[in-house]
Parts: sequence; structure tokens; C-alpha cells
Amino acid sequence: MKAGKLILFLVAGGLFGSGLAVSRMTDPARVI
Amino acid sequence: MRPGYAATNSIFTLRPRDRAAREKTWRTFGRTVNLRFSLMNHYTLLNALIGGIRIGLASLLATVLSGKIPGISGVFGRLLVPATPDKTWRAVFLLGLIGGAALSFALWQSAALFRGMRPLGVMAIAGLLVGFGTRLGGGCTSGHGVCGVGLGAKDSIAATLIFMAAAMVTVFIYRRAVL
Repeated sequence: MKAGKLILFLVAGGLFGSGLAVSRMTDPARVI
Repeated sequence: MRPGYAATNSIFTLRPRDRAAREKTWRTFGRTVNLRFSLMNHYTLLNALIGGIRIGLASLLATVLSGKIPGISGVFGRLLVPATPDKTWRAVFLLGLIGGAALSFALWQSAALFRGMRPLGVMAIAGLLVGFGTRLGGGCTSGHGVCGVGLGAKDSIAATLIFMAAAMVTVFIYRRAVL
């Protein structure tokens, strides 16, 4: 797999993780 | 205020503007309403909106790149299977997921870093149940809930409705039995 595609996968993962953190879905005190 | 919230806020340094937003109160019809802890306000709406857009864009990008539905449980689960041929992108995606969450917390102080708030044994049992359920149901909140529902898949819609209902009942019972 090309490096450029892997970087895009890294970006996709980063977006997903940041989305979870920013939306506060990772905060157990808030969720449960 | 719930006990967990005080613990969450006390260990992190807040920017002055965040602190101001947290402490701001409105006096409405003789009642003081704390914006921070009201059920839904602009602060939480903004977080939910920006977070949701990021998750949606990430799902779209990963779907286009891999040609598969990017459910987090599936991406991670198949990484552990020796016969899986495409392990590299899965590992990179998960690395980005953890790094992105950590970076967001560092840059955006209203983001929330995950911390375990239950005993390790309880967390392990809960994780085991989630893992078993996601494999049995063929997907998790990201695979069924975000991508499957977005694609209009009937099995994903059914799975999402059922696990959301199960989660609501669990929280309802848990709050009354434990908190």
C-alpha cells in the first residue's frame, strides 16, 4: 500500500478520534 | 453536580474563557441556571456538532479508501486475526484514532480524555460483553450506527435501534440501582 494512502488512513483515524473527544463521547462522567 | 464531574474538572487546567463559561450563570424567572450543567446548551451543542462532523468525514474517508465499512470493533478485531491480509491500514487507522483524540484534548480543552471510572474488573467484563455483542451483531456503533444507518441498511438500522434501547435501559437501571 502506498505511503500517501496510509497517511490518509492516519488522517481518517485522527478525525474519528478527535470527533469522539470533541463531542465528549469519551468522557465517562458525562456519558454514564 | 454529579460526583464524577468534579473529579473530571479538577485535574485539568482550564483556559480563562472555558472557566468563565463553566461558571457563568443566568438568572431567569428568579432561578439561577448554570449553563454548564443545564441539560443541553450551546456549549454542548457546538461540541456535538463539530465532533459529529469529524466522525462523519472520517467514516466517509475510510470507506472510500478501504472500500469497506469502517467499524472500529471490526478494524481492531481483524487486526488480531493472523490470516487478515490488510493489517497495515488497520493499524495506521487505529494509531490515528488514538493520536487524534489525544491531540484534540491537548488543543481543545473542552474535549474529553477517556479515563476509567469503574474498577478494572467491571471495565473488563463490560469490554468483553461489548466485544462479544459487536461480533455477534456484525458491527458496533461506528459500523452499524454511523455507516450502516447512513447507507440505509435495514440490518444496521435494526441493530442500532436495539443496542441504543438496551443502552438506555441499562443507564436507567444503573442510575437508580447504583448512583
